[in-house]
Amino acid sequence: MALPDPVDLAIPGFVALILAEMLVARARNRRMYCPKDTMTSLGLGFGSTVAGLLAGGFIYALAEWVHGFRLFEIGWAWWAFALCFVLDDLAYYLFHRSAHRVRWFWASHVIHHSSQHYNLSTALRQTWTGFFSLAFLFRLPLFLLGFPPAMVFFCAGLNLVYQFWIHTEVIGRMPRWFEAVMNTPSHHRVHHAVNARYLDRNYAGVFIIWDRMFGTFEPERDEERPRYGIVTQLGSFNILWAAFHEWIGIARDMWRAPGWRNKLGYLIREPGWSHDGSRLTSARIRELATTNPSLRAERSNPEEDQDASAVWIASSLRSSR
Amino acid sequence: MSLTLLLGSIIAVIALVVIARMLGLGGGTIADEAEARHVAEAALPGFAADEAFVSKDGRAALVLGADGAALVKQHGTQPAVRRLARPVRAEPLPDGVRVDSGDRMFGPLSLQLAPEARDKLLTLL
Repeated sequence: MALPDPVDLAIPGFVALILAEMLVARARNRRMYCPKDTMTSLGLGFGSTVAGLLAGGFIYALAEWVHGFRLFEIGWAWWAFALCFVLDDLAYYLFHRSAHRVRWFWASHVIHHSSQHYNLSTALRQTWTGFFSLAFLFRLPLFLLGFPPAMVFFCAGLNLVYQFWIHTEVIGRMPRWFEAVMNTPSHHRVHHAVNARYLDRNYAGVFIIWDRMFGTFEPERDEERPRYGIVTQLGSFNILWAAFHEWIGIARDMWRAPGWRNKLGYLIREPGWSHDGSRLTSARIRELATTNPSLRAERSNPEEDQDASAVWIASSLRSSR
Repeated sequence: MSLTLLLGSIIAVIALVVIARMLGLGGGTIADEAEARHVAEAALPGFAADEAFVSKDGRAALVLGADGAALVKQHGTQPAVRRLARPVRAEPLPDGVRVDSGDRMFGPLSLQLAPEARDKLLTLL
């Protein structure tokens, strides 16, 4: 069965929604967007598409090969689509959690987090090195179970399209029932934040239930507005640096580290790990935040207009970590 | 993905960036010394800010602390920070001080300062 690529179909919608969000930014808070940051995000998104085209053939062939060893005959029934979508989202959760906890995977995923903005253009800031990092391995169990590759890739596309709209500050909270089950702008703002409380939380793609089940859920708090980006902000709009900086960092660290055990640590331990303890992991940052009163959050008003937003940005910068 | 969609995507990327500029999106500076201190403390866990020097154009600041310094760069609309060890590598300029971040991609930053502030900063460094 031939299925369309949901991402291809959604591209005009992506463009229209980014334009609409820019108009909202113009009216409410011009600092929601920075043209240079937008250029970097969209450029990385385009590059990611090209990288995906180059690697797609191999991944599809691998999926077909694994599917040849399938445990069950799963046809094209409607329930198979539904089950595939849910299990693919679980596979996404596992991939995404690994992408934040293992530096090898983080080196690829960090691109998506490297913007200090949180708007719809950030959603398109995607990796160029996903294939190299072997991220596709996380979906292989679905083919082994017996889901047809075309069905899995269709569901993965839907998952990616769903995740576009949650990259916004324009939407506050969704209805309570929706926030309980689905990933939302509020939940995903937490995921993109570098505040100590929010670091390495809310890995969900579509269903937030995975985070609730596996103990990685953190709600967004009105008194602690998120600050976005990565712990050590890039401070550069260079698109190539954004795409490859963590890989270069890994290579440098491995080259300099004494002994193979330490070299391996820089590859497979969590981001921020160092053999001499000179750097900060997210766990250590959380510890520091709880022991240092100056790093605790202060209240801020989320309903800002442009002038008030300057106050909010200043006060949110005072908040935790 | 078709070639048409690929070319259309390139056109859309350029168009959105041009529109963002036409709408006047972006902006932002480091307002004052207090903001520079708060930015440094928020970005660097464990950093306790003391005296801050903010460039007249609000694009950069140097915050001194008990255990080093924080170099703050206005990066687009948001601040980016680097922790610097003492002694901070800096050189005087006619209208301020140039500070080396130690990070080529972050770059060195020039702080435009009044003569008295420049002299005071150079003394403290």
